[in-house]
Amino acid sequence: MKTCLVVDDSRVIRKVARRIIEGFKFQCDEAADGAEALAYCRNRMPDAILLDRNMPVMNGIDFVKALRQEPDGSQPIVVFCTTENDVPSITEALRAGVDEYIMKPFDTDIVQSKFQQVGLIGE
Amino acid sequence: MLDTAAINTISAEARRRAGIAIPQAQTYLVEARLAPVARSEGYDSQADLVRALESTRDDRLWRRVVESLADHETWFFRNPAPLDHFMSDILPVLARVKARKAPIRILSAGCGTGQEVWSLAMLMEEQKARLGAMDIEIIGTDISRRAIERAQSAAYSQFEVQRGLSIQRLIEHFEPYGQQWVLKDSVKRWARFERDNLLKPSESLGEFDIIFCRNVLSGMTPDARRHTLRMLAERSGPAGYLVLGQGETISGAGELYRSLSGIKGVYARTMEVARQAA
Repeated sequence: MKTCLVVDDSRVIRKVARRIIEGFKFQCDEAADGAEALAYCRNRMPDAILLDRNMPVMNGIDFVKALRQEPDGSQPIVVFCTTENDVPSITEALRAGVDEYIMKPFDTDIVQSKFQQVGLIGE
Repeated sequence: MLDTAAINTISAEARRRAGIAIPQAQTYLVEARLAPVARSEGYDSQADLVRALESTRDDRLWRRVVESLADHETWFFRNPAPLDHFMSDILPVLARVKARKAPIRILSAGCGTGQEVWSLAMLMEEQKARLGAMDIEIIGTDISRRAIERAQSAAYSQFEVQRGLSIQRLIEHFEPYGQQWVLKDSVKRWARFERDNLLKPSESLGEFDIIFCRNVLSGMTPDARRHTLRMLAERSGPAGYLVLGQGETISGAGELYRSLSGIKGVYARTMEVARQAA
């Protein structure tokens, strides 16, 4: 079974996202900020990470930069998930090392389409 | 609530005008689609709208109703395998067999809100260096004026641009405009749209080298499907290709097309071309 770490400081968003991704037959875990997520990944790299941008302690951009420096840190497919929908924000996230980008609000169709886009699930 | 008689009236007219099949289990869709039409035409309910249709036989109003029933959801790069196959395998064959300087003509029949057309246009723009001086025309047609207007505007909601489109393609080919994302002119220049009914196609559109007609036949009655396939065959050049959607076949019109080996849903008009592409 593939694994996905859902990183968001909102418990409600984590729950919604988790339910959607579990629907694609992933085993999910949650983290509330970038620092928690980094500690989790140092222990065990997930196949996918759904990542919020604005979080306390460590934000999504700083997390993905740090992750990509870790041994095996290039392995997880990182899907950003944020309300920052302007082109400079998208470009910044892609440069920092995210693979795909979901603009909030999202629904099951969008998460499914984006997961297909990066090859995490089939057509 | 619409009663059975009203649903039957609507279904019969949708079948007659556009070949649309409305299965018994989907009659709730009729109510859903008619709600915005009733509202914008100033009727209190769908039932009032149907009563007006029955008493006036207003052709414009009927067209609006039937077109609203023909609208179907679609997304960018839907089932992309045939699109990639076209770019890598069919386009080079067409470039070889076409007379010099004749444009390669592509039709997206029943293009809805235009995502398939613009997906092809994005591929052309991305691969333009390889295409060289090849003259390419992409035309999208649909029975629904509303769909054609939306396709022409090339403006899509945040939900629509996140279905099938990678983030790299979004920032390469689109610009944000208010709450929407609009295609750049570099992509828009590849295609144009016209309103057309597959059952009574206008002859002015001419012949096409390849026709994409995906996820359209499946919503039609068997008679309309056969008729549409015949009409599409008449629009195909002698070396024309046809691409159908997943789960759609040429059944009932097998004498017009033959399937190509190697890729599902792609058909050729003649044996000669089928051999060259194989």
